[in-house]
Amino acid sequence: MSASARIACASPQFVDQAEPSLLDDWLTYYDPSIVLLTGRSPEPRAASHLRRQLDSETLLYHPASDAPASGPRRIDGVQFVLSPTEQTLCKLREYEHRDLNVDRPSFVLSGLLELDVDTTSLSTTLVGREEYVSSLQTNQLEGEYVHISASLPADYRREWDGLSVIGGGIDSGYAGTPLVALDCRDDGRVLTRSVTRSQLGLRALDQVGGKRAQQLREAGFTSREDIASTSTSSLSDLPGLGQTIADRIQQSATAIAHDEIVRKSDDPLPNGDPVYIDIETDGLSPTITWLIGVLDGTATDGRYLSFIQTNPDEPGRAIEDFLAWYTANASHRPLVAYRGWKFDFSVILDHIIEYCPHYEDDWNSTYRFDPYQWAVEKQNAILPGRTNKLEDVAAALGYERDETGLTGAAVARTYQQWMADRSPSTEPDWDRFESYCEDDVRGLAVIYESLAKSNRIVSTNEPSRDITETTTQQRLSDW
Amino acid sequence: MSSDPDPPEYAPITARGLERTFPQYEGQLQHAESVSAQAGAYVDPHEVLGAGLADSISESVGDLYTHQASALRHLADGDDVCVATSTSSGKTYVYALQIARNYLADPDSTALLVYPTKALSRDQEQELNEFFSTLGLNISVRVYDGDTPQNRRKQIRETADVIITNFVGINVYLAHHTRWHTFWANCDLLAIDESHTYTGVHGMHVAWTIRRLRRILEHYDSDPQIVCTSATIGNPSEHSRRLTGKSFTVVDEDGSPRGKRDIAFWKPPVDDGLLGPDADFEEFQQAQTNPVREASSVLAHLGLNGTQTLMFTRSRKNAELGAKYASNAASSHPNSGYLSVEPYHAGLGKETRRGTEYQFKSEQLDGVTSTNALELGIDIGSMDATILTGYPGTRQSFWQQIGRSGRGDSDALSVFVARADAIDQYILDDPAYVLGDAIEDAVIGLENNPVYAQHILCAAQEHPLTAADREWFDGDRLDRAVEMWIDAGKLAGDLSRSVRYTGSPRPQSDISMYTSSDIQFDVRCQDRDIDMEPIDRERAYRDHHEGALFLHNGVQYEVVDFVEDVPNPSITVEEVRTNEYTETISEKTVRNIDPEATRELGNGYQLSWGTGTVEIHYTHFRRKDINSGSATQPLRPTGLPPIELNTQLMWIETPPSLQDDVLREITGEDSSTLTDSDVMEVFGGGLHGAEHGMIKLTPLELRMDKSDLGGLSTIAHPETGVPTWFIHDAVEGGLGFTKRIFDQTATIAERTRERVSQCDCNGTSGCPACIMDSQCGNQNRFLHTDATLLVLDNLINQL
Repeated sequence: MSASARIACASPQFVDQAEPSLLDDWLTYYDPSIVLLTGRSPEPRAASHLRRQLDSETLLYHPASDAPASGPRRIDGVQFVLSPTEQTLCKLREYEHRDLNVDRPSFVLSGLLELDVDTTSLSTTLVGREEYVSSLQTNQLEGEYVHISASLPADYRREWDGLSVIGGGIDSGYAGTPLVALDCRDDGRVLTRSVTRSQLGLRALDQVGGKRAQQLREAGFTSREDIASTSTSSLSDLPGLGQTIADRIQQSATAIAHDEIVRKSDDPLPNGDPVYIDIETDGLSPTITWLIGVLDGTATDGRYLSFIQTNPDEPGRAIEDFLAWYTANASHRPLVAYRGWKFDFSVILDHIIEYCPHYEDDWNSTYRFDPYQWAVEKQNAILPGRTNKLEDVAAALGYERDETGLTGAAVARTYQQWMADRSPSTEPDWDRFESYCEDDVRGLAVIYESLAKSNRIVSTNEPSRDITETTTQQRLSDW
Repeated sequence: MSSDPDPPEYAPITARGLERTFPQYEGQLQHAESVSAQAGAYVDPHEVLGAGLADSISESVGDLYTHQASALRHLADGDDVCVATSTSSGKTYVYALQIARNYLADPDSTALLVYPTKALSRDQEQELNEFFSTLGLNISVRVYDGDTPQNRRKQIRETADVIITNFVGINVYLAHHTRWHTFWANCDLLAIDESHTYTGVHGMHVAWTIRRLRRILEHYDSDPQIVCTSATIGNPSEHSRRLTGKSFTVVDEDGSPRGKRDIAFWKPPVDDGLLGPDADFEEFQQAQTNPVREASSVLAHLGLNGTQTLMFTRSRKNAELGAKYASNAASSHPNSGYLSVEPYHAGLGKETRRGTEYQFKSEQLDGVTSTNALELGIDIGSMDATILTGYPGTRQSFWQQIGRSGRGDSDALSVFVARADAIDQYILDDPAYVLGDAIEDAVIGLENNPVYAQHILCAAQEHPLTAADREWFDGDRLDRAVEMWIDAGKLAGDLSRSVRYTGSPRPQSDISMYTSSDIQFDVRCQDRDIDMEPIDRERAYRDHHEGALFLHNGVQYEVVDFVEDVPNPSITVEEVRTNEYTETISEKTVRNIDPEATRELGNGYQLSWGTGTVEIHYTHFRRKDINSGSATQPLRPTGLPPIELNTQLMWIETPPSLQDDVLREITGEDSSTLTDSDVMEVFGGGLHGAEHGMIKLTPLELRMDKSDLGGLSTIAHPETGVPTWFIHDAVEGGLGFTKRIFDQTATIAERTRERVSQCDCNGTSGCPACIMDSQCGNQNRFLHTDATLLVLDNLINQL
């Protein structure tokens, strides 16, 4: 398994506004080796806030500070070059062989590259690139470098004439922008993770927003653990907090602190043996569903099937194969997908209409179920885990996934590259993708089985199809 | 009310009647025009429609007007048709009957109708359903827009034969086009109602949205016929083509009948005794009876005489004030009485607007004071009279507002109350300008890149872009936009294979269909709710900086907080009561000018059009007393940084010798013997006057508002090195107007010269009726009418 070092990115605005317990929760969640403070000015206040929270092993790097760290570093087995100014870039050749193993990629961290998108002249400039490239003297360098700039947005990735540029999250945690972390792997890839501010600290609790979090802190509850270990009556004494709300806050804290599902209703899960699915596409605005991973059976012993399309020129094939299997073998069983109503189900429907419309009626008559919607949005249960993401919830419930070194975005990106250029060098490692997808459906089965076990009332043997439920759910994601 | 076929002359329903009966009459009536009644021209429906449909139409409606028949013939031939005829000439029947024909040929056939406002959509839904039901056709017409409940949407998409919506909605629905696949696949007709309203920034957004829509329709193998219905504009064929990308057959021979109509050209009294030769803008405003007040008095007079009246104003503020003034005027009227009158504008909440529409229609109101929100065909019933407070900016709008009174063949009155403004005075001087046949062109500036670029992102999200899409998106320009977005990390791939969208989901929701920038300020009120639409950045800087006062919905507010550097910029306001208004002072510079077209005129004169950067800095403001116009506070800084517009502009360079020529002619001296401030006052005043005048009179040629343009004049511009005046589009990326001014400089300069020379103001500083401009950031200093005429004469000689 390749080495990986994590950079947690934070904008100064986020650090300035966050109370210590929130910073603490954020750092615990990511457990980074490097904290990258973005922003173009020295920001001494934000830097000192962070320094107070960090342990001695975590490197705080702020390229725009008055006296930034610089030079090569080896962190968790991964090579970095901290380059607050072009002067450090000029020294890269000196570092090669002496500090840097040229057979392994290195990550150059700076704030020197910035985007200027000028829609009036229809041109985008990578501001600072000329100076950057001339300082690098790329033709004299032997090693492979990935350039991360703290002045670019986190989702930015682009090759500029051989210069591989990745965004370091300039707005990370600012206003609605998520807090990102970059996992820099010693194979040269960077995986982006994200969490929103409202998934951290007290605001991660059901029924708790900014105002209520402040109220709780002022009453002495600074962490979720404080709340999990208190009685609901001490919460309901607070002004504006009735018994019901206090219950929910407390249950939610318990779910997270004790890694367990807390049921809120007696609503049964669907009857029938579920078929768990997870899809892989070419991005968040997908044009192809090229992998449908299916788990037929339980989390531990179920059979995993892959419907995969490695040829992007036949974009409907994977879906068609899957539907042929499903209609022939499992058409009376509920199809279960995590956040299915937000993504998988609607993407599948779009692609059925686009590529195999003869399956539209079959699809519309399937019984689809989304445990995320059922638990979180319909408030039937509180899920454990730092966030409600599938991997966090499954991990909290004890599911250990294989380390595939992938994220959904990385999988989509790889397929995009394959679509653009079908050569041996871009061909995805299909087996690895199938394992990644299998991990997700098994994790989903763990969540579903835990929800089923947590039923206050065991579901009865009513007929398995619940058409009303299905139509309501369709409406919720309707446009 | 207006049912009397031959009203006596003394009733206010005629221009002469108004002259005789108006209690404060002081010679306001400058001109009375009587438009005689015209009989309709008809065609038997059997000549153009199939027997069954023709029978039903004959029975339910009667004969068709000639223009309806002609349009239907062209549609039968497979043409795309633009029907450009007068208000209430039955344009709706053209597409309604085409829908009926399509339905009879194929019951699965669908049609998409697009209206400019939601209110109009609801109105038409009911009318069309009734119409089809009268014809015995089972065609279901449904509105689908932002107000349609989520739980009805699926059913409407899947079952409606005709969907009525608006382009703001279409922009969003295209993101989920697969959900509409059955509707798209069967779509045989796209009707764009009131298509002339799509100009300026909104027009550009709509034009690109239509291309995106047609591209998706093509994806589902549909290429529906298009019907545009338009008010009469100068360039219906060109406008429809630029709007949709298709070529149109134009039908503009109007066959509908008209009743007799009087138009009174009304000049509010001016108290000349108050005006010295050096009168400034405020003094002119003081001397003339406020046109809104004058119009409101006419409204009160008409209303108290049982003449239901709709009064148009040019701003939301004036719609509010008009209603107040009219009530006051009614109480001091000789037949003093109660007048029920309500304001109407888009800034009011939906409920309020629906209430007013209903009350007016059911004749519970004597009058409504409205912005152009009621200019379009919202059904508020017939009314006897309309009042236009100021020229609405275009001949087309002028006739649209006039045409709102006296629907059908009953008699009607319209009163045009002139403001102290160059265009309004031009029209009083020369009513033939509006009474003649010529109508402005409607301009859509497809060249604006910021707007174009946003729609390219959306198109890529809707369906991956390929080389074939150059046909939809202006050829090689698509390659440039794609490259920009790939570099920016929002698109991936290449056009030879496919370009996909990789940005955050739903780029459509980032588009604001009324602005070219994506920065909008939300308005929040500290102590109460405020129902006010977000405002765009330029306007926020000009009118809503901290300390600014403004009126909304009859209430005065002060801006107490202005926050821009956050994802959702906002201004916070609080209610105040004061007798003041704010005046904001700005500094403007023009730089980085890059000519794309140049015309050498000889003798050192040159016209250019191109792009450049306009920097406007709203530096200071002060408060002034509403009644006296005098400052109540010293100047205060706004605290705002300059804003930049990268836009299109045209400029006129003159030879340096013009300065001495003008100075000699006017002062008898030349610049060597005059002080710098004398030179600025006279020659600078001449350039400044020419710039103001041309901007103010451009709306005579183009369908636009003068606030769509800005200008700058200088006796030596750093980049041209010579005396120069600039006219620029007031929107990032440009609107296409300055290109038209560049093309039509001779006409505009001549009209400007005509107005300035005919103006009867005293002194040389001009007046609001010629070269003074309420939007001038330099408080109209300096302006010099005689120098303006000399500058224009010299230019015209070269043109």
